[in-house]
Amino acid sequence: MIALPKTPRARREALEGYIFLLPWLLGFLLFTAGPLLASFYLGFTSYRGDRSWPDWIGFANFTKLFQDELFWQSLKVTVVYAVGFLPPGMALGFGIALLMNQRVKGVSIFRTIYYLPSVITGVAVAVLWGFVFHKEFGILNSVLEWFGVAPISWLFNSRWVMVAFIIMGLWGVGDGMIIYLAGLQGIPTELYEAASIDGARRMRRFWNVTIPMMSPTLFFVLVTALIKTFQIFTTAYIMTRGGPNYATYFFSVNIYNTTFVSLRFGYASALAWLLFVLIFLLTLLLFRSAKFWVFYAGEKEEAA
Amino acid sequence: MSKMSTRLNRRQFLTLAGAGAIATGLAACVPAAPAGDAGEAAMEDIQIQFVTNHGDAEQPFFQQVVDNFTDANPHIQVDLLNVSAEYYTKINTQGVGGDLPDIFYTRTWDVVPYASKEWTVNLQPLAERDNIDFDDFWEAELEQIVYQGDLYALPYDFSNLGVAYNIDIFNEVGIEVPDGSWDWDGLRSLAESLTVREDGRTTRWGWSAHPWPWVWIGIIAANGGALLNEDQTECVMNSPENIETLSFFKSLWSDGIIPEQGAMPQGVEGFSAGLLAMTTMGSWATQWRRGVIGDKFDWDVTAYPFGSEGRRAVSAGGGAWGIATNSNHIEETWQFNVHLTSTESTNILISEPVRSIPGRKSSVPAWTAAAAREDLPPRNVEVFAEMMEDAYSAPFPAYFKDLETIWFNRVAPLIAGGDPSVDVAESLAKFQDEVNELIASY
Repeated sequence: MIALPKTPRARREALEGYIFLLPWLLGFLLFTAGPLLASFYLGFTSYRGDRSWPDWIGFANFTKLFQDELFWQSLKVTVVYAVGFLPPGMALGFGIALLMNQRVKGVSIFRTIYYLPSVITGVAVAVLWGFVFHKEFGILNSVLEWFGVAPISWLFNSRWVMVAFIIMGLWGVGDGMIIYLAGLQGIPTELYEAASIDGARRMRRFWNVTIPMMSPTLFFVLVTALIKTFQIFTTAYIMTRGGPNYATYFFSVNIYNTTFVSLRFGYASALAWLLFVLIFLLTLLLFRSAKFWVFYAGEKEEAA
Repeated sequence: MSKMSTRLNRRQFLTLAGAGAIATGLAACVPAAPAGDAGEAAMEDIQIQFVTNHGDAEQPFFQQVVDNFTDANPHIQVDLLNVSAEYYTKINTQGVGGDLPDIFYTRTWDVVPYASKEWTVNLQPLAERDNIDFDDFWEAELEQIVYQGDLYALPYDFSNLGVAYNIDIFNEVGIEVPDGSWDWDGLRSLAESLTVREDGRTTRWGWSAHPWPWVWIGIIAANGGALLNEDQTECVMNSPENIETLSFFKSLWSDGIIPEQGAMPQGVEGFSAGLLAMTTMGSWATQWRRGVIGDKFDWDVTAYPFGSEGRRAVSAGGGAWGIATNSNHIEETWQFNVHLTSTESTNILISEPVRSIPGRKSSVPAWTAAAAREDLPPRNVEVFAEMMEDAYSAPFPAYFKDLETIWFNRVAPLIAGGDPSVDVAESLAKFQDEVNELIASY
């Protein structure tokens, strides 16, 4: 049971909080909650968009999933992308944040430039990268040509298309950078001063002060990036439609096609809920692992 | 004092913000107020939604047809809306939601899936009641708009494909323009001599192909193969004939005669930009091509090449108009559909602008006359109607949309290129297995 705030001031503050939540809450209740519940129900039916009431088939959709080659292909492609993108993406974002945390003249301009890709919408990003990856006229192949590399058909060759998607993903690391930057600026300078007085050099200060103090931020970025990575859709939908040879048939593209092309709403709902369960389990795993590597300054002090 | 004033301002702001949010939420829930006396009078009129999926150039013709109808039926208001982007996603969403427009455009291969989901009205009883002349429709098209023996849409146009060629390029190279008596080897050798490479890069390709499956059903049939067995219960794509056909087309891009997908500059239409000497041209694209080419160069169109079986078997598909089962005015919408697909309207929409092949045979004379009257390319536009004589035609199965997804992943890379490692036999075997699994699941 949720405890009510005790003082009138705290109650007012809670009320104000809920009022600010209201637009989202109304939006959720009016537009999202219904479809969410409906999709849960549809996951247990064979509904194909016709006028009749959906037939209840129990767990048949979920058992069928495991014999569906496209399900495994879409899962494989999504996991490969997550493994290929998340570690370099996290490292690059953190690295750029460290650079952007320096006291250099005009650093705010650099911060803006690096963050810019994150505010560009998915379709515009897809169009832009379509130009970059163009086999004959793209800038990437032009640069590679200087090193004697033959033109690569980035988006239409099943061997290269995933590399292209990871490169595209890395371009958007400014998203995490801004959070890392906030985390870096929240580290008390006296910790660095104390470490310096104790004789710690730059690398030592990085490993023993920056990394532990940044671990909650790293954890947050990892969890949100993982969720986002597993839901990759727009660029694949716009640029490759899941091809060639299902090489970019990400889980969300599979859900979309099953819903809007095949009109197999029951099966697509089962796929969507399975994606939710997968993401939920992975997130749970991360939360369980957090106690081994995430350092919360407040908690430690209380425990001590 | 200043502290107090800040506190009050903040509180006032929060109160206003909260009240605003609630008011907005409530306003969204409250239906619009009636329009008073004038509104009540207007409610006696009938309003039907008419949704097309065409280009801007065609909208004035549709408007003219709508105006002709509303002039004769002033109590029926027809709201014309053209949806160009994501049309089928919208139709599918509206179909599931039971919120389809009263009358909407449907490609002939969508008629069976929509009818099987009870999204569209069975028009057979209405057509019989009003003595609709079925003999005036192309038999091949009729086959595609019938579900379980009943009519579910009225035909708009019928389309097939020819080869458009740039006369200026042929003159520049000094070779005769094709007369349509060619076979695929003939197209290949002609395309090869029109291809230009400079400094190791192709600056002009001889031809280009569409990877759409409906186009290829005819091509593979003309070469003795088939996509599905006769009763469409089995995919038979992995046959020696089809392996030979697809290997031939794979060699076109691997030998650099046609552009691989992604080779053309982004956002550029190759033929109108002079980067393609010849291209596949749909019969529906006359107006659009005239617009984009303008007077940049002279061009024309010729018939598709003959296959190894001695026939063209060009694929044919079309456009039609379906009526939604959720419509509250099925009778009035039917009247509009009859008007929309009448010879007079078909002449306005298709024959006069020389657009595609009219869905009614009785509109062909007007179409032929308009084509001859206008001294504009493609002057040989009648070739599209001539090819209908041995056009390939079969009803599209209800699982055609799913088949398309498998096609675009397994077979399209063989036609459109991009991945030199693709293997014809392996791709066709995978395609066949996956389509057979699909058929079994339907």
